Amino acid sequence: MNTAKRKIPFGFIDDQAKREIRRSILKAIAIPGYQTPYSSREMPMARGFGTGGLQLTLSLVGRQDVVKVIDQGSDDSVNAVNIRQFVQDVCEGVQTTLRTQEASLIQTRHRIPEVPLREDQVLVFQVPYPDSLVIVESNEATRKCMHGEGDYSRLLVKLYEDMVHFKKITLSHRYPTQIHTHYVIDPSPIPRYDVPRLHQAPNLFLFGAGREKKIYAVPPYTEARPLVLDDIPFEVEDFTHPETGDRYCCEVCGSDRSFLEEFKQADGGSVWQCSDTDFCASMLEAAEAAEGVI
Amino acid sequence: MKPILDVKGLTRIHGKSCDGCLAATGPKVGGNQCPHCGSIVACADVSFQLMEGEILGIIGESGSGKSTVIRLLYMLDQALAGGALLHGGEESAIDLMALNRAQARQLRDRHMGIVHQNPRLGLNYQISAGGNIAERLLMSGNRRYHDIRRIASELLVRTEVPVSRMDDFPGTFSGGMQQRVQIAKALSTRPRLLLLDEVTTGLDLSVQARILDLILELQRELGISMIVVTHDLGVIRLLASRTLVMKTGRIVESGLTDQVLQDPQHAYTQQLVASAL
Amino acid sequence: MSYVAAKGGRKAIQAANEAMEYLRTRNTDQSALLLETIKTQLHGLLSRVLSEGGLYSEELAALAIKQAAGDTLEAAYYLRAHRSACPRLGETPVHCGSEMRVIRRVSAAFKDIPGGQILGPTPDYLQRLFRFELLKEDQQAFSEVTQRWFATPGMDTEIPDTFPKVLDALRAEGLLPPAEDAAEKRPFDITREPLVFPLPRSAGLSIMARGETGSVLAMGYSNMRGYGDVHPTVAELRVGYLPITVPHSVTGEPVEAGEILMTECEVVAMFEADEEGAPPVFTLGYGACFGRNEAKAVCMAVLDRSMDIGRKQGPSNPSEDEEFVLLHVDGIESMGFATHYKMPHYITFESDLDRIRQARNAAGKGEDA
Repeated sequence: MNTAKRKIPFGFIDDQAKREIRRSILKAIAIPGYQTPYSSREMPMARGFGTGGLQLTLSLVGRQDVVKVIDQGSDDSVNAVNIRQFVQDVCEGVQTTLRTQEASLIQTRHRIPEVPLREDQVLVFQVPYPDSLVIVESNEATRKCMHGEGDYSRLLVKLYEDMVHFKKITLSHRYPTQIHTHYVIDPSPIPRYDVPRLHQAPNLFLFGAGREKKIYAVPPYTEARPLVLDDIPFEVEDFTHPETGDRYCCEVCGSDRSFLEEFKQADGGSVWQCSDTDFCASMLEAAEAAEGVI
Repeated sequence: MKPILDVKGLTRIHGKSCDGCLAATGPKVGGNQCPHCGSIVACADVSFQLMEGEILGIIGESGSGKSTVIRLLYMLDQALAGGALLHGGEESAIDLMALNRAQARQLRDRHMGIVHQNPRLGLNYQISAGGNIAERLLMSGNRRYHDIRRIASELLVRTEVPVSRMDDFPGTFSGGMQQRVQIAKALSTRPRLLLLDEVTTGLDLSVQARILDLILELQRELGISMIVVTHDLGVIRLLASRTLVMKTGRIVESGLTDQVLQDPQHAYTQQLVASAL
Repeated sequence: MSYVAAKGGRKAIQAANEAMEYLRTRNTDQSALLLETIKTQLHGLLSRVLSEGGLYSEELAALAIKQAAGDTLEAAYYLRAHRSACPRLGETPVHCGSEMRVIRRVSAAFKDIPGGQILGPTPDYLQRLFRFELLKEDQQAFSEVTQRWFATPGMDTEIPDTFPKVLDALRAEGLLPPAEDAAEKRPFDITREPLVFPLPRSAGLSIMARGETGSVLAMGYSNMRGYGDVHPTVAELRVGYLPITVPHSVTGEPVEAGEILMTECEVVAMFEADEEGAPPVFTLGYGACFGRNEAKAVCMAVLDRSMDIGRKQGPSNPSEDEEFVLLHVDGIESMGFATHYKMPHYITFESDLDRIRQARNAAGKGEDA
């Protein structure tokens, strides 16, 4: 066996696989919210660690692209670091960035960046469960029929039952979202806070499930609405203090409008901090710059 | 009176079927299995009309094809031949046998209801009684939670299920109460056509009587057209104004219920009436 | 600020990788494992990794085992990932197990089979007692075994290159359904075609052939124990080297490119009633995988049979449910997903916290929705 280091092709996966994925992406864009099956290659990182998103990224990335990778909103999370490093290793010449505004291609797990994206940006989600119906139906063939018929009554019954038993909808993340009035997607485990941000956004959202072998899309300027009962308003995560009613602010940058992560303190209390680390850093820089001017 | 349902030549054969199936089976032969190809003729050439607000009875022993007719009309199964035109509503008559899956589902959700002998077929035991009614309302396009709660509790009152049990799971209910929930669910969208498949079989006599009373009251109040399938002459006598008698997949006799029961023409009907006396 | 989440992801990863490498190499007195040693002395492990990796390269499988420090799931993953980056240069025609250069073949159906039973190398009749003399083994001991082996009487008996299939005899008697002409039908390629259920049988067989040994075993065993009733009889189980041919790049004629070690199992199960009134025939189940992995091949054959029952009659237990079996036997997928739960889920948990707080709040207020 030749022991010399084998040259890995640009983008790691072979051209045939890239072509298949690109075709699937086109189909997914053409039928908003439809789960397009594809064969899904094994990647050098484990299934469940973003292999679906990674295959999309590697099929789309060109040498002129600037790639950003985030996990939980952070560029510095181990998984994000690992994926960014891999993209750098197998895509010679491709730039990476930590800045949302500079990126042309963003791969994410569990968040949409706080700064609204532009038409020339693509957001790629890593998807563990592509099918919103899996919580009410385990058989995939049956689910396919339900999607085809637009039959989401069992999901709606779940909302009804939640209201009966808990007086609240208990779905926390992965909130079922109806795209372009037909297909209901699992928008990946983003918080409810991010769901309305899928609606009529200027950028393309792509969803890649590696293990479950599905690709789907929310094209630019497309309707995306959380599945709700008409008279029970959709609620995003509440970051207000239960007694004072004040919104918590980020401990670092002071933002009172971003999605916050909670840090438990030794004394039992909590402090809050932006989950989007780039947004937090930008806020901080802006504040410091303003101070400098004064 | 106008017909709400026109059924013509409804035929369903299980198995590969051959040219000889129909001639080689039926009441004259006394069987429904084709001697040539082994297929089972579940029902053949079933034709009848159902009038607006009428309750039509279908009686026969098990295997006579009566439940097959119900399954075909509710579009749970595909007919080999024949049609069933559903009238009423603004649109022109719809042939139930010519709908695709999505169309069938929509029509079922909005305009038809069914009550099964086994409540497990009609109810989801993982969700509350109210949730079962809600499911049907949600399927038909009503997505207002407070509306759904109100309609469900009214229906439970109407079908004599304590409203305090609305949020309990059907598995904790008695058999009679489960049937009432099924009826409430079927009625929730005010269907044009209600199919009742052996709804009182297996229940205590006193419970049976109260459910039959309820069905009669509902028919008088709401004017819903119904088809009642049973092997019980008592149920037919009480509910149905007209009756079809089925044997080996064919209708062997039909007419006003009183007439059929007092002066049965077909040997099988005579036997049926005699055995009940 | 002490509450800030751990930063320095890159450094942490690097340190973790170095720690892994240290674990493998920490005893500096030892010599490094030779791939040749893994291929011969750990051939059971090699077989398993070859079959679950779905790429037949003994060299790369041995390297994977070494790199993964013997973790079969990880080692198989190296082969799979490597395969994703390889261009496809060509395809072999469909090969038949009857072309196999057999080193072992047994039938549980007949005492005597055409060509005879060959017990071959099998652990089946090893008494599982420790041989403490292996604690001190040297090359001298190895040579002695080899010399003894070649001095065995009858070693020079000519055996045929190939053997007929036991099933052929049953088929000649009309007791089996006619053979599907596999060579005519292009098998489903699970690595290149999207899976949409229901799947063709060849897709199911491919998925199981790469399936995780323990998972295939558990699902097959569930059927044997009573969650199902295939009741198989092993018509033939064979292990051997199957010559692989590829079309010649100029002439297109098949040229032998090498041979692969394979296990193949064919089971016969009870007959089904035929709708068309034809005389009843036995039903069949087929299992095959790279390397020597007999339990996997037997279970795969049982599952092939049970899923066929499920397809025809509707599944009445897990092993008859095609989706249940095929979506859960792959080790690469299940291992990856199970371990992904260790990754950060801060956002989703924050969202969960919000819901439970809101629900408790609503319950406390006695709010009427």
